[in-house]
Parts: sequence; C-alpha cells; structure tokens
Amino acid sequence: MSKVNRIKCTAKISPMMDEYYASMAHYDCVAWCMGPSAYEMMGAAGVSCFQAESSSARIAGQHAETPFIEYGQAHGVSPDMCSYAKINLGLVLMQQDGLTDQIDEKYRLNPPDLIVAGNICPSMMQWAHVLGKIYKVPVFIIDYPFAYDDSMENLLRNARYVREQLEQLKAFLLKCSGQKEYDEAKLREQTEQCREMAIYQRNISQLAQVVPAPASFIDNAVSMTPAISMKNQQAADFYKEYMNEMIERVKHGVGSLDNERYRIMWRGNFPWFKIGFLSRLLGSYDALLVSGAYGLTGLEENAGYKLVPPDGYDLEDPLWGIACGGINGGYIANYDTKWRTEFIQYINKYSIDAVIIQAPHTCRPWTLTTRDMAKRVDEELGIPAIVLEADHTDPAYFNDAQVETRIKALLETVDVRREAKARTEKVPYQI
Amino acid sequence: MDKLRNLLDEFGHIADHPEETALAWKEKTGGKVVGVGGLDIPEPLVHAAGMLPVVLLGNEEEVTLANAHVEMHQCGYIRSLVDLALKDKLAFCDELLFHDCCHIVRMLVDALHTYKEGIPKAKFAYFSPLLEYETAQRYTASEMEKLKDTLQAISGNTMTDEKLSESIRLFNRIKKLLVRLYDIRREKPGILSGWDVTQTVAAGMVMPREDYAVKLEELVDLVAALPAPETKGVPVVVHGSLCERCSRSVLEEIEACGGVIVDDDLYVGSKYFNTLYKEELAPMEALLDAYLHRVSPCPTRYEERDPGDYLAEVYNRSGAKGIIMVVVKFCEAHDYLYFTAHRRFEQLGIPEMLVETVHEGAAEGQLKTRLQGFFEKLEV
Ligand code: SF4
Ligand code: SF4
Repeated sequence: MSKVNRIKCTAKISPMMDEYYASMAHYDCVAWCMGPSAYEMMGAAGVSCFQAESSSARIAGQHAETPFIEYGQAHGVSPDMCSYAKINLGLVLMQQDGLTDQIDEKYRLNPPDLIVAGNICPSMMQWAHVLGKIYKVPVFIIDYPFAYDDSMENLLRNARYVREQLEQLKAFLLKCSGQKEYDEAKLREQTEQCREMAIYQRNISQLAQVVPAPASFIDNAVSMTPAISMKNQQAADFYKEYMNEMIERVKHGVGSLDNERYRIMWRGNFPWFKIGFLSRLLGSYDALLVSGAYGLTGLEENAGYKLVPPDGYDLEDPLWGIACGGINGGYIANYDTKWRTEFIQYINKYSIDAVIIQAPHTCRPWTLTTRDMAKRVDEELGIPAIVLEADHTDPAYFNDAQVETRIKALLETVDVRREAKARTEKVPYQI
Repeated sequence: MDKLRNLLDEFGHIADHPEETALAWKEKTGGKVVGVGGLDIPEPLVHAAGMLPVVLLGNEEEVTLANAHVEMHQCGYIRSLVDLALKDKLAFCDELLFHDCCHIVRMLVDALHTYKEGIPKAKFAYFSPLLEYETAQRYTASEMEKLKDTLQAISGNTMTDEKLSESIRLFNRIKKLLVRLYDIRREKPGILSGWDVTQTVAAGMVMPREDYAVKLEELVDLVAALPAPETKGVPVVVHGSLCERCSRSVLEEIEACGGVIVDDDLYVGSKYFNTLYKEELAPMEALLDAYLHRVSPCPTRYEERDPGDYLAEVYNRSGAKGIIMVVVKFCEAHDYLYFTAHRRFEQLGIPEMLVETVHEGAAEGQLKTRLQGFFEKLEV
C-alpha cells in the first residue's frame, strides 16, 4: 500500500485554468476550438481560444457533468456521441433555452465568435458544424489526412497541405477579429514559448523512464491542459517547474510511490471523473502508471519525429512546425504506426510490467482495435494487458467494482509471471 | 407482371449473393474484382481499369467472429464487414479499396489483414471531407490521381481518357435510369415496395454494369407501363441507413403500418445515383466534381449547408407528409447530422420520426406502435 506522492505544482493547474477561462470574458473575439486547432496562431490575430474538450474534462473532473449530459440527451444529443461533445452541447442547449441561472457560474459559456476544429476524429468536425449552426458563426476546419502512407515523402506532402490551410486560417481569423494585420512578431514569440514548452514536455515524458518513476503518468495527463489551451509563457514556466521537480526527485531517488512494485503503461484517454479513484486504487497495490501515448509525450518512434516540436519549430516559419505537429498526431496514424508508436516505445523504454488500455465508450479513436492491441501486447511482448471499457467523461460507463477486479487480476497475472520467470531462472542448467 | 417480378427477384438474389455474380464474372473475363468501401470511390475508375467494382454493403447475418475484434457498440456495418472478412465471405475480392469514408472504417479496415491470413491489405485513398475548401479540393484531386495510378498498377491496364469517359457515360446511363425509376415512384406511389427498390439499386453495385444497364432499362420500362396502384397510404420519405441497405424489416414495417415510401435519401437508394457526372468536363475533373458537388449531403463530409434543408427539398417535391430518419446506431457522424436536421425540421414544421437500427434488428414491436402513431398523426 503506497501513498501517491504527486508532483506538487500540479495543484496550480486548476486555479491557473480558472483564471485563464475567466480572462476569456475580456476578449472581443473568442474562438471555440476542438482538437488540434493551431492555438498558437490565435493570439497574433487578436483571437482568444476556448478549448471545448478541456472544458468538458474539467467539468467531469469536478463531477458536475451529469445534468448537462442528461439535458443534451433529452434534447436530441445522442448518447453515443463523444461525451466531451455531449457535455458541451448540453450546456449550450441549456443556455440557449434560457436556463443559464441553473448553471454554476464557473461553467457558463461565453458564446463563440468563431469555431475552429481539427479533423482527427469522427466527432470534432461535426461537433463544430452543429455549433456553427446553433450560434450562426463561421467555422474553420483544419484537415489532417489519414496517414495510410507514412513514408517521409507523403508526410511532407501532408505537412505542406496543412501548412497551406494554416495560411488560410490566418486570413479567416483576421476577418473574424477585425484586426487589420496578422502580428507575425507575436506569432514568433508564441512559437518560441511553445518550443520551450515542448522541450520541457519531452523531458517530463522521458524522465519517467527512471526507476522508481519520479512522477505518475496521471500527473502528466492532468497537466496537459495548459499545453493544449494556453500555449504561452505561463504554460512553459509551469512545465519547467514540473520538470525541475522530477529532476530533484531523481537526484534523491524519490519515486512517485514509496514502494513501486508494478510499472503500468496506460493507453487511451482517461476517465477524468475517476482520476483520483484510479490513482489511489493503483497506489493501494503499489502500482503506478508511468507511460502512455496520451499526455505530454515524446513521439520518438514516429517517422516525422524530427519534424515535430521542439525540433520541428522553425522560428522563421512557425506554421511549418505547427503543420508538422499536426500530421504526426496519433489520431491520424495507421494501424502499424500506432502499434509501434503507442505501444512498443512506451513499453520497452519504460520497464513496463503490465498494460491497461482504456476503451472509452464514446470515443472511437481510442477504442477501435484495442482488443487486437491487447492481444498483441500479451503475445508478442509477453506483457499482460487488459481493456477497460469505460469513458472519458460519461460516468454512466464506469463501474468502480469491476475496474478494481480487473486491475487486481492484472497485477496477479504479473505476479504469476514473475514467479514463473524466477523458477525458470533458478533451474540449474543440465546437459 | 411476372416478368417484372422475375427481374426484381433476380436483382434481389444478386444483391444478397454478390460473390456468385463476381466469381462468374471473374471466370468469364479473367479480370479482378475490387471490393469497394463507401460510395465515394469513383467506380468508373475501377471499371475503366478493366475491373469489377463491388460495393461492400455488409449483410444482415448474425455477427459472430468479429466480436473478438470489434465492440458491440460500433456500428452494425463495420461489425458485419469484419465478420464477413473473417468468414471468407469477401474472398471473392482480389482487392479491398476504401477511401476515408469515416474514422471507424479506416481504423478497422486498416487492421483487417492482420486478423486472418488471406485477407488482402486494404488500399486507401484520402478524399478530404472538406468539400468546399479549395486547398482540400486540390488535395482530393491529387489523391484521385494517385488512386488512378494504383488501379492501373493493380489491373495492369492503362486507362486512357477515352476509356474513362466511356465508363463515365455507362455509369451516367445507369444513374439516369434510376432517377427515372424514382420519378415513376413519385408519380405512382406504391408502384414498387421499398425493399424491391433497395434491392434493385443494390444489384447495380455488384453486377457487371453493362449487363445491369440493360436489365435495369427493361425493368424501368415495365414499371413505367404499369397503372398507378390503387393502394392508399401516408406518403413518406425515408432517409439514412449509412453504409448499408436499409433493413428490410424496417421498410416492410413502414408499409405494413400504412406508409407509402414516395422518395428516399438512403445510402442504397438515391444517395447512390442522384449525382450525375458532368460529361462535358475532362473525365478526372468530372469524377472530382461529382465528389465535391454531391446532391445529397453525407454525414461524414463537411459542407456549410444544413442537411435539414436538403431533406426538406426532397420532402416538398415528393408530396410526402413526413420523414422517417433511419439512423444506424453508433454511427456518430449520422448522430450529428440527425441533431442538426431535427432542429431544422422543427423550424420548418416538417413531421419527422427517428428509427434507430442495430445490426441485430430494430425493436420490432415498439417500431410498429411508433409507426402507427406517427402515421395517425400525419393523417389528421
Ligand atoms: S474524446 Fe475521442 S471522440 Fe471525443 S473529441 Fe477526443 S478523439 Fe474525438
Ligand atoms: S455506418 Fe457510420 S460509423 Fe459505420 S462505417 Fe458508416 S459512416 Fe462509419
């Protein structure tokens, strides 16, 4: 039974984000964004951004999602839509139907002036369309092609395609904000901040390879929001502090758990409303999540590794770095690449004992092929894996007792295999 | 009448057993059969390369083997498709060819060849869903060119512009015949059952298209010569059933409960044929133009227009009294379209009913009661 030693500065995230969302009210032009929406380009056009998934994750993290989901579902939102969208649309519909006073002030939404979304999943683009119709505001979609062919030649072609779209996004943003010229110096400044942030993030991801791991992957995952939404100096400073805390721990041999016995890779997004429960549950078995393809990740195995931030940022051509980051995303990777980049590297480099794959009921990109992946992890890498069918922000698909039983059984399998391995190692060699 | 029934039964048989037709064609011609996923792969390209395109629709057979790979909460189409592949029922296809119809399809089909030896690794094309953005249009055009090269390589045949134009004309001939069949159905409500119409369209996704065109023309002439039936009922438009045939039981229940399907916006229905290729354009341009300027909006593509407005047009021109929206459960893209269209119908005062289908069949008893209630309301 280990106590979880969280990275201290993670306590700053919630007030920092609250402050950030509150600051939105002072902008004349607010973009609602879903997915990779080139956030770092917005400020230079006089646009601030509101990240819709993060907002829903935050609401679920504070266990306030259910009334919004229920309202949405009673008004035409399908239970099978992404639960981020369900929470957001439920909130939107309540406000549109004059029920704002029933909503906690901190969750109330300022209507968008424009919407920007990335096409990386079955939800974002259509969610943006729906919002565009409700609010009667312009929508811009950035298309990231499915990398069925991820030869370098094709990746570069895709990056050029995205870069061209980003040029158009500039014009679109200016048209929406009414600002006369795009502030290139500001974009360069923000790009520099993003590059700095990406260096810290890569280090944070790699430092977890140390045994015992100085930070839990849960700390990593809950720290994503500033990187996604804010992308500014304040966010970069936050990750620097996070990284330094990890370095200090490594120097003193301090781990996230007092007694780290099982190192787990997590695959998929997180059930945000159960993050504390998961962390405590795993800690009670001396188990720690240490790696995964979600959160602040390193992407070493991707074909386009050198193209992505921080290496990929070219201050003279910031859009190129943003485009390359986009086309290297796991969501648009093909099956073989996902296996290599989302499993093998996070298992082999992090001394992993077991893998937990979350298959969120309402998110297809994180669910599809998970059964096959779990089988491959076991058969090809000899590591036990389970698929937890849950959800990222809809508690209707989470059962505490079932999750505990599955995780307990997974750790028992690790024990059995360890014992078996120890026995074979002890057998004297006989001719 | 017998002749018409025989033709309809023949089409029905072909639609239910695509492998028979495809294998017979292969034996006769020595050509390759290409299993095509999604309606957006330009079939004339496959045809002009000397191959037989067969649109893969899945079927209503119970899903068993696929359950090891695909969750029950994925759409019925993809579960059925994976199941058919695992049961060697797609073995008649020499190649599997998909465009990025949706994120679900692309992820599962990309893994399909790892499930069982003998399943070919699917080939892909990425046609951007952004139909109205110029940059995206250019990307799609380049993917179509790439696809053309791929098809030439697979078939070993060179595709001249002339050959491609010839294929385009053949597909247009088929489309125009189906448009005519639908015109007749609007003029003479109840002349054909919803299922017969579905199977007629579905057969055209399988048969060698030259043969299909001849038989379809015969069928259209026979239907045109029939008098309008006496049967009275509530005229309705049926929309939906993405990636698959609209379930027979749903169509038959609509008719049994007093509805008459006067028009549709179904996947195996008007969505398949109502966008003609512009023959005055260069052939590759004509294919791109049809992809970009489709008549009926697709939930997986992105266009500014409100899908509810298009459906309102279909509703108005057909004299229908209501729209039945058939949504395949767990098809997220369609859920969004439904949400938007439903709100638009409310604004326009168009009566609409939602029917959700799962692969294992709709809740029949409940469906009947709901349909009866809907039709009664429309008759008032
Ligand atoms: S959780 Fe999944 S479905 Fe939802 S927005 Fe993210 S990737 Fe898309
Ligand atoms: S029915 Fe919907 S979810 Fe299924 S394959 Fe078709 S578009 Fe995708």
